[in-house]
Amino acid sequence: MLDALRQHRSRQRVSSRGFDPLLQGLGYPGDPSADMLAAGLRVPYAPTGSTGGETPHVVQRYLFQLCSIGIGDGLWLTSLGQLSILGSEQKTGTDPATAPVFPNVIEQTSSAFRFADCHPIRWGVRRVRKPRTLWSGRNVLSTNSFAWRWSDSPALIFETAAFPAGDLDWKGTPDNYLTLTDYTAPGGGGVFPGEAVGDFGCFDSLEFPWNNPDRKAMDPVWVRPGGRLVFYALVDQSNPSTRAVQQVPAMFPLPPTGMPENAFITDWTSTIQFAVGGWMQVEGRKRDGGPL
Amino acid sequence: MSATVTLVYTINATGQRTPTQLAALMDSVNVPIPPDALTLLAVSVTSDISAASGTQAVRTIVLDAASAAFLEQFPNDQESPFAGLLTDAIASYVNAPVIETYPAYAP
Repeated sequence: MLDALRQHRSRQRVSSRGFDPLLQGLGYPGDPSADMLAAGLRVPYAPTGSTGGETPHVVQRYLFQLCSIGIGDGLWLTSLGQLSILGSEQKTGTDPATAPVFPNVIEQTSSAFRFADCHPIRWGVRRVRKPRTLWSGRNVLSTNSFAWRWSDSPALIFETAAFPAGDLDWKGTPDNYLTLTDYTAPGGGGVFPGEAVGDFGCFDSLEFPWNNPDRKAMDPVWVRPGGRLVFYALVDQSNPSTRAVQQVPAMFPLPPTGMPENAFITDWTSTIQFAVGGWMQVEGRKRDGGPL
Repeated sequence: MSATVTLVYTINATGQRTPTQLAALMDSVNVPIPPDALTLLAVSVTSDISAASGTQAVRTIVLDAASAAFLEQFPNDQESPFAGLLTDAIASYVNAPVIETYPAYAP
């Protein structure tokens, strides 16, 4: 019996893969296999973070559709992964014409970490009915990994957005979405669409670190038929020029900065939320465990 | 009588490739204007320059569009035939998003 069940299981994993401008120009020129996709989705530069004393550039948190999959006749959510990357784009020289950009990043491993002026990333696995008449191509601002209201592939989704005029082509489409100057999320902002799936509809901790296979186990959660299963993230962006700076006592005898993320920020003060990502693993079998 | 069409393609340098390197990659040698297009449109190249400008690489092409054959084909709209002429070719060769300025016709 068990063998029969195993044979009928279909296991799938979907994950975030997004457009990263840092990859531009890499590879042999003209190579058709070269693309600009990397694990995770880049977070725009414009700060949403605020300590209350100033107005952030962007008021709403960025709403990312990290990954999604059609539910069909129902499926089991068996595992999750979360990815948070901190970092900055370092100019490696003073002359912009000849200075390449270095991606100076660190993967977040501390569950308790957050930027001083930001909420922790909010995660949510939701069952969503895909909008019927909308597709991202209808909005001129939609570009790689940046989609209006909905995307079948991983993307930052938006309701409204604005960009510097110099980053738009004559049709009004930006070359990449990282330089946006204004943003609002679909649904009014600050909330996930759809209905919660199990206990994972909304949580704020790094329960399932991308790089730690020992912490990915979970009791499988049944997802009832219909719609799409979407892993969302609501992400604040930090403002390095206004956020609090960690104070380290001079007499501190131990490595003074505690979490590696804070040590990194102390060394490279322009660090912001660089990218975010997630994956889901699902199994196609009936609610009672039998094959579909 | 002189008339020109100016095409401008811009890449914002955001990675390992510098504006100078990107300008070299997107130049007329690596991404030439298809000769057939010039023949069919009845225009010729006056200048074709790629250069770094701040954090950008910019390719500016000026075409001579004064021929009678060109004006006969496009008596009312001399700009849209050039829209998107090299955008995808540059983007795929350089592997970078290209910002295209709408072609400008100057009679």
